[in-house]
Amino acid sequence: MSIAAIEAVGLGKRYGRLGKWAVQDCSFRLPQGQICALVGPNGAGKSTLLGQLAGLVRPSRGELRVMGKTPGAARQQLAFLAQEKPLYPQFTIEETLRMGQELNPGHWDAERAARIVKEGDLDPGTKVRELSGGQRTRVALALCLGKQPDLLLLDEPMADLDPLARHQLMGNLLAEAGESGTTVVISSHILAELEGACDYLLLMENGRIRLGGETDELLSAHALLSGPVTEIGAGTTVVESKVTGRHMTALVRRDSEPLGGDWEVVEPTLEELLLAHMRSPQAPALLTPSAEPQAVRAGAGVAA
Amino acid sequence: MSGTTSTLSPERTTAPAGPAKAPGALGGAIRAAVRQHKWALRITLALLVLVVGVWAGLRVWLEASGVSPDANNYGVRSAKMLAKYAADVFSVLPLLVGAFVAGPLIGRELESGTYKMAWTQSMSPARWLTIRLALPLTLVVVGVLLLNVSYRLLRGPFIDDPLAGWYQGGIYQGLGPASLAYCVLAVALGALVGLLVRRSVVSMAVTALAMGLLATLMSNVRGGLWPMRTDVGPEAAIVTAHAQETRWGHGAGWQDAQGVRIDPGACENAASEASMKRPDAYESVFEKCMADRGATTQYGDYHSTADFLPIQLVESAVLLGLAALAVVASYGLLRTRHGGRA
Repeated sequence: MSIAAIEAVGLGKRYGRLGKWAVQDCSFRLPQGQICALVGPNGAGKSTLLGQLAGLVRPSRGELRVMGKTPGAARQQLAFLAQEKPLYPQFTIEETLRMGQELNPGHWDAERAARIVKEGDLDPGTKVRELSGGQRTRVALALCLGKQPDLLLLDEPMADLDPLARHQLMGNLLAEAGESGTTVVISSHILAELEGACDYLLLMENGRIRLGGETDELLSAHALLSGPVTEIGAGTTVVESKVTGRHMTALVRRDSEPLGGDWEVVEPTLEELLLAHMRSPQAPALLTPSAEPQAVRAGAGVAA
Repeated sequence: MSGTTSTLSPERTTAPAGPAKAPGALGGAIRAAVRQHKWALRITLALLVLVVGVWAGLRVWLEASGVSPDANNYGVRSAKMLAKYAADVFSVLPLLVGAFVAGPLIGRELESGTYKMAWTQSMSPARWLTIRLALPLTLVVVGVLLLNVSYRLLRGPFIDDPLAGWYQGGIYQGLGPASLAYCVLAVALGALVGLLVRRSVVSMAVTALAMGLLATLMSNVRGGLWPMRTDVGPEAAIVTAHAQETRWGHGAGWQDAQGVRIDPGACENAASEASMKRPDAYESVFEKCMADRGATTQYGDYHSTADFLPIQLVESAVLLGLAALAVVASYGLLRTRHGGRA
């Protein structure tokens, strides 16, 4: 089996000795080459998880491998776009990209970085502090993609962009990633932003991964039932059920086919699946086989 | 990295792969840091050239014009005044150095989040910190040594000014290695405070305050850093109590034939009471009182000019020890919070 882009087992992070756990018991695996959406409500721990993956935040406990290494050792192979798109404001775009080139000798693609900037109609002599939110995102993205990462981590990348710029940049990003086989993780609390773009999904809540796997497989592992109020079979995991008068709808796991009963059965949409899980904290977590962490190989490196 | 992209990147840099590329990345990291702070660097260098030029230039002028350092003309008076007050630069410098490292160099990056960009552009936190310690240290070593030399040049002709003795605040620092040690500590402490506070302005204030307090503390304990010399004789106390350019006076008083020092408190009280009734009685009452208690002669504790270097070295060792602790703590803090080797 090839090395996973990310493998986390029992990952946890607590800020301060008495603080709340921002990430807790977090376990999942992300195969290489996926475009993965990391979704969840605000405060779910997405940014902390991304910080841990990027080698910025030390895990309080658990095991974490990025491209088979500790995040600190994988620094050259990963790129991270933080939520606030940090760049040195006093640098020009050109100086920013030159810095990228000088910090990544041997794996910097100057032509690619310049192209991304150029597609945004930006003058390389412009100072970063004079850029608008969208332009800034574009430059930060050029810096990320210029270093030709194997794993690209994006924290709410589109939050401060207008819909048009969002669409354009997202298309840009996916094309670049597809071309080079880069694994991408994009976090967002806006589900619609990522629908259709991502083939892999991680739903995070209260510091844990609640759903993980290929979007298709996650959807087909669930069924949306509607019909007259009936008892649902004991072997079926009910994520959420709603009763309206004598009518009832339920989102269930297809873990014990046939479902029985007099149901109309359809596959839920991504939004229905995610919302049902977020409304039902008691529903058990589900990871598809490819998202199940293998035991972290013994001797693969020191703890992160 | 992945071979899939090599065909579409004709301008790809050609540095060799593997461990050999580390120096290149290090050079890039240094250049990035220098470019980031190029204005601070330019201003610092300009000020350094200006100050060194004026100080050394004044000496050159004095030598060239052949004016006596005792001459009472405007130029010499100005030079003498400058020689006395220029030393304050050495008191202020550590505060400025510490504030710069704590704020613009480290605290601001943590506050604005740009460290996230730096650390994910293949620069490890440890290397990031190392550069932010090494660059100001280099500047401080060169700058302070130049300032020391030019200050010694400036002060040379006025070394006998009793109001500007070697032991006085800034002058003491400006003349020796302690000035460098203070600035080195300022860099290390600034880094630690910046990492701890993670706020630009607050860490600047905290560092400057801490350096100021430390300087005050050190000036209070400085006399005890090296064994005191003692003069004994009929005038020893009076001599010691007077400001002199060579002698740094500390305690002075009376002692008996066995050399036991006598607390003058009771006699001072008695003399004060007597002088209320008879204003001219103070001295005679006091002397009689002290004589009754066995006082036979005076003593004066002091440091001579020869103690200057030992005191400087002991003080520097203390400061550099503190700096080493701050550096170790900084790297430890970085590792604990952010993890990561390499």
